[in-house]
Amino acid sequence: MAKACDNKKPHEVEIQFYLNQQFISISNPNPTETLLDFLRINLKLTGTKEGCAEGDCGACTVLIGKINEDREIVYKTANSCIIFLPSLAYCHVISVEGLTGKSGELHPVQEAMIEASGAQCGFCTPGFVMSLYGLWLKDSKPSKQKILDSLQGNLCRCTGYGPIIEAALKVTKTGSISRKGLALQQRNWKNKLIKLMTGKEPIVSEIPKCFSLPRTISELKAILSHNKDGTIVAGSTDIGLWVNKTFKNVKPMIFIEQIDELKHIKTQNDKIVVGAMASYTDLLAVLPRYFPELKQYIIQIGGDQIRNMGTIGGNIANGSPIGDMAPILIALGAKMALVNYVGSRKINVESFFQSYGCQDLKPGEFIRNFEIPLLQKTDSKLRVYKVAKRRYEDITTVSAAFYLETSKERQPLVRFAFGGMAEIPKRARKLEKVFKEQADFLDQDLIISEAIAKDFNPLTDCRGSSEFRLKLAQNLFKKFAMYVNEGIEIDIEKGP
Amino acid sequence: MKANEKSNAVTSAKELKSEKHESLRKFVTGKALYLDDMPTEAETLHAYIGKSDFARGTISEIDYKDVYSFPGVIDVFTAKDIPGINDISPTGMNDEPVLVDKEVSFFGQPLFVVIASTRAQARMAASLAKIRKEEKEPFLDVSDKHHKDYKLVTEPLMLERGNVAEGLSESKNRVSGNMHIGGQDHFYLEGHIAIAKPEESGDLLVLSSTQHPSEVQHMVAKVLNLSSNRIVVRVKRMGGGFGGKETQSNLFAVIAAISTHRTGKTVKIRPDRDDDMIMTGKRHSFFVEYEVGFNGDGQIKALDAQLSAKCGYSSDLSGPITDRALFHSDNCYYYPNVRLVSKPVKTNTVSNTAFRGFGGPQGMLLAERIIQEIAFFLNKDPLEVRKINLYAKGKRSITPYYQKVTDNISERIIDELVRSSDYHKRKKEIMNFNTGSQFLKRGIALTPVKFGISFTATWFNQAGALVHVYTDGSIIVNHGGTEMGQGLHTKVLGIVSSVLGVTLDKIRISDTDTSKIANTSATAASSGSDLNGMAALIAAKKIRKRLENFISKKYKADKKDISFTGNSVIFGGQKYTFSEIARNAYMARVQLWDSGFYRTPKIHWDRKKGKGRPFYYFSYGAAVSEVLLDVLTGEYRVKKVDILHDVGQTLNPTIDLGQIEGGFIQGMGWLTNEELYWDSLGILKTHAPSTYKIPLASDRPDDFNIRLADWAKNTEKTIKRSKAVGEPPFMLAISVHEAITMAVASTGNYKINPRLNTPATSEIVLESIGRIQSENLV
Repeated sequence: MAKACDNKKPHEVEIQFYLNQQFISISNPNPTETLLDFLRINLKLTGTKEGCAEGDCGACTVLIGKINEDREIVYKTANSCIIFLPSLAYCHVISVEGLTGKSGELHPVQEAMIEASGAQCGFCTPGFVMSLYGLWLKDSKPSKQKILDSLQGNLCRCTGYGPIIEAALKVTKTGSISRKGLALQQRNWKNKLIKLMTGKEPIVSEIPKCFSLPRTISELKAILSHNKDGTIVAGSTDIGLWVNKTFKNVKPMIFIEQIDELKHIKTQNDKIVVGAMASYTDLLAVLPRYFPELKQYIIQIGGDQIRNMGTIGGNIANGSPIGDMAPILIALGAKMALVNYVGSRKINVESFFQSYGCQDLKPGEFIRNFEIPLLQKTDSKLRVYKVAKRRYEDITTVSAAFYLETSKERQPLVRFAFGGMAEIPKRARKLEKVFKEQADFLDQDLIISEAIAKDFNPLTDCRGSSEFRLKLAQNLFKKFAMYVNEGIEIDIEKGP
Repeated sequence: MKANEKSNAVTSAKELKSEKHESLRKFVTGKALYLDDMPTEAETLHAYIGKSDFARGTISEIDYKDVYSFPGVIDVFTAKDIPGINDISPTGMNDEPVLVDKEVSFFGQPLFVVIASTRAQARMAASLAKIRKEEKEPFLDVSDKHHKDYKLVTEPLMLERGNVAEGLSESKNRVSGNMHIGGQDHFYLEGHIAIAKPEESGDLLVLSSTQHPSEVQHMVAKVLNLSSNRIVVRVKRMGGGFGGKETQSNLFAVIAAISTHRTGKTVKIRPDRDDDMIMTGKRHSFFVEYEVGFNGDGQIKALDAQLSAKCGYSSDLSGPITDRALFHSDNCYYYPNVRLVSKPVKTNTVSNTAFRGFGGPQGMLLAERIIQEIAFFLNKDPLEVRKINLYAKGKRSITPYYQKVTDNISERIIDELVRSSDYHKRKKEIMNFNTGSQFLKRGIALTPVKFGISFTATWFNQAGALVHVYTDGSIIVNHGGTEMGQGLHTKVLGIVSSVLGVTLDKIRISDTDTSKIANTSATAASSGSDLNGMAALIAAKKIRKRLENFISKKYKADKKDISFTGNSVIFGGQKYTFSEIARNAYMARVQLWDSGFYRTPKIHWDRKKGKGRPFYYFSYGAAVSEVLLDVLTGEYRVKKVDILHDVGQTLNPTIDLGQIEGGFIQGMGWLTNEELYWDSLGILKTHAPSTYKIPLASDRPDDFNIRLADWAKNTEKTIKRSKAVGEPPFMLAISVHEAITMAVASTGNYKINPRLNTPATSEIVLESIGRIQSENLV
């Protein structure tokens, strides 16, 4: 496979995008070359830094503008260290070098960072500046909470963050670049990108080459029919690490970024249908309307950059035992549509996870969407919890989603799903049984604790011991029980 | 500022005129150059280290076939190819080989080096060697004193004063216990990196991200068997250091240098973040055991303690680090009878190293644990126990190492902070809250800091600087210190600016360079501005004096009337620009450049006797922290922090407040979320930010107030009576740990000391709550 990728002829492919003010066209790019390396090594644009090469520190943060389904340009922060070049087709990338005006005039976020002394060693600073710029584009007068949420993907080891938060609060008071002027610029970029996309052929290889870039689901099906072992790349927040950290060969790669059909989130009667390419940020914009408790949970996943890049499909497809969205989808009884070139099928998300690293995904198959049933208004309750070593931007130690539907006529319907407790995201069947049969004994900790201990034998690793995980699972259920029985919520975010 | 005035960091900074960090504009535009950003020749080669994939044992064979045949690979070298001495031990212990070819002592130990055309090629190729080995069980646990593999890496230290046995037996109450204190990764945002460039006749220019250019120079000379004058080491800036680049940069610098020596080309080496974390040392984890005797008021009679440190496979700086741990096992408290013993234990892990506080934090944590033991035993507020044990005048001013505490301001600091933070009222309110709340608990604590300033290796307390005034009046300053974000250059600029009356835009600090200032000390021990600032002051004053002489002679001015201010020189009703004076002085053949040399006076230390004055002075501070705890998950939030800290007469309030806040948050990370996890095979599992969690913006306390004790003055003649600021604030975060302790203790109605090990992760907290609940049932 690697050999095929070295062939320049006969099939030339081009990736085209804008970087700051510059038009970039790359022939036959190495599909695992990251944007960060391209900026730093090829273009010698060294303002963007590498701190970890795994999307956790934010020193490499850039803004990526894309044309969305409504033909508008939307800029979002992203970690350039785990973005591969083909993902950038028809985008407008802004690096820190693009923020300063032609004659060196600073952007308001840069001025505010100077004013507040928001840097000491300065290495993380360009990343913070870009995150603050991303926030400024969305909200010129952000609340402190919004600022904190926006900075979750940026690590600073020197300042203690105070001056950076102060800078973010000050932005509107400094600087001369008006948001009005920016809107004009954005229209300009929108037109440029649309022009760039128009009339371009999708990049589709008949033989296994290094990568494909389909625009539609039918193109994707066709590509997969010839590349059954190809790696589907969505947000590359996982695959970026496979390449950067484990040298894994992921070619041929199929980049599905351009397939708008996969990004739809639509409400249909009693369910909400979420496309596999919907990012956490997309989910955050819609799901809390129907499930308010998901807002805090999703904000606890990754940082802003990762939430902009990572997709629900990728999260489920890669089958992590702690996959953040899995317990929720399982608890809500969600289904997923799997498609290949011959047809499609619908399965429960729960049954997708078979054993560690093994999912019910056939060669040539991809996830099209998820169907999440909406809650019945009166008699259903949902609570979700995520505990990690650090509250934000951390891999889960234990996550839990508890769904309860009570009814006078029949036994309650329950689905209690956990992440981080077994080799796959899993329901606590014994707990569910005990709960259904002995709903009156809800306050009896012992019965519940014993049931959970029978359900799970979690592992010990750097995120926590087996005993700790079990205790957490038991106590998270206790929280849920208190909520159900007494309407009490224990939440340190909300305070006493 | 009056103590009862509410204030915070921002307003205090504004009240005083304060120069901002000199590089801020470059930082925010991405134009500040770090080593990996520097343009290098097109044919620059890249080196990468091949490392051991096991913690302990013997290598029988390494098969390099796949390494050599990987595209782009130019050269591979091993231990036997090192031209000079294969050792980079910073203290001359000869126990730290650059590369090993037989005996492996830790997971990630450097075995060989690959040089290739690109970094990606070198990095990939370095992973392809096939290592045949016989593994042995690694020794990892420093509390396992009777294990056959229990060894020390260096000579332990004992500090003893009074009669401990008698003191303990005469005490009304005695408590003994132990504590596990975790280590910490530096997590500087810029990882290690070095570039070596060939100069003529085999001489080398080495660019290194190091806090200690002179040591890099000496190490490169040693491994290449060249004299020191053939190696020049240069440092522009680091993207963070925190002690992690005091000795750990040697490895990368010497490998770049050997690679250049072999290939004749410029060679760069930059490990991946994971390799950086696996291959370089960290803060030492400690296991401390103690017995304390005290009377009914809580006044300490005697303390007997042993501090075992996980040093890793070699000594590195473990000797001075464990010494400093003992020096700070008293914190602010007088021990009438005391015995402190260090055990620098050898383990099959990467050799641990300097990290902000340098052993001090671990020692201080022991002191505060002792206070907590007494408080829980007597059912008192720990603050009360603290106050009764503070150093005082006369007999109660003598430290365990016989230095007198003569500049003690801890009582005033504590009292002012108690008032300004409203400690007593809040404590009462919190106790009430806890009584009525089962699953959410609050905790509050005040802990003080006293930190000794000076290198305990007395000879390190020296520094040099050069000041060049050019004929256009612009100035270059060069000194032996390195800039890692701490604002040293900004402070030095401010000092030179005030002596010569020249604005900052006319002064530049050039890269730290071993060919300009020789025999520099590491920029460490918080001493950067104390030492280098003073050296720069001396140099600038010499030039000013010469200019005054010149002016008084040429313009017949009275020396006392000459003032240097705002790029002007004013005397006798006349005003000249500084550049005119510089030009005229040059024409009159006046020397417009000079050097300054400074050594800290008064200090001395006899390690064998455990007696002396290792510290020129002490820095003080205190913090009140409040937390909210979820009893069901062990999660907590730091809600409010008030700090009152002593930097003497501040050289630059913006920089000082930045150091205090940054140090505090870093200390909070050490005690809360930052957990280093080695598995039973000795493999570090937390080697990237995905698994190793430093504090985020959202972990910052909701309400965070920092004030400088602006009435404080250094009693010693330091630069403008200021005090060092780099390390001391780190330990203010012990208040967070105690606040968590108090919140946990409230689940047992404060009857049982939770004895939280560190870091106090949710797991540790939950486990402690479980223990308290089961003890309460009994």
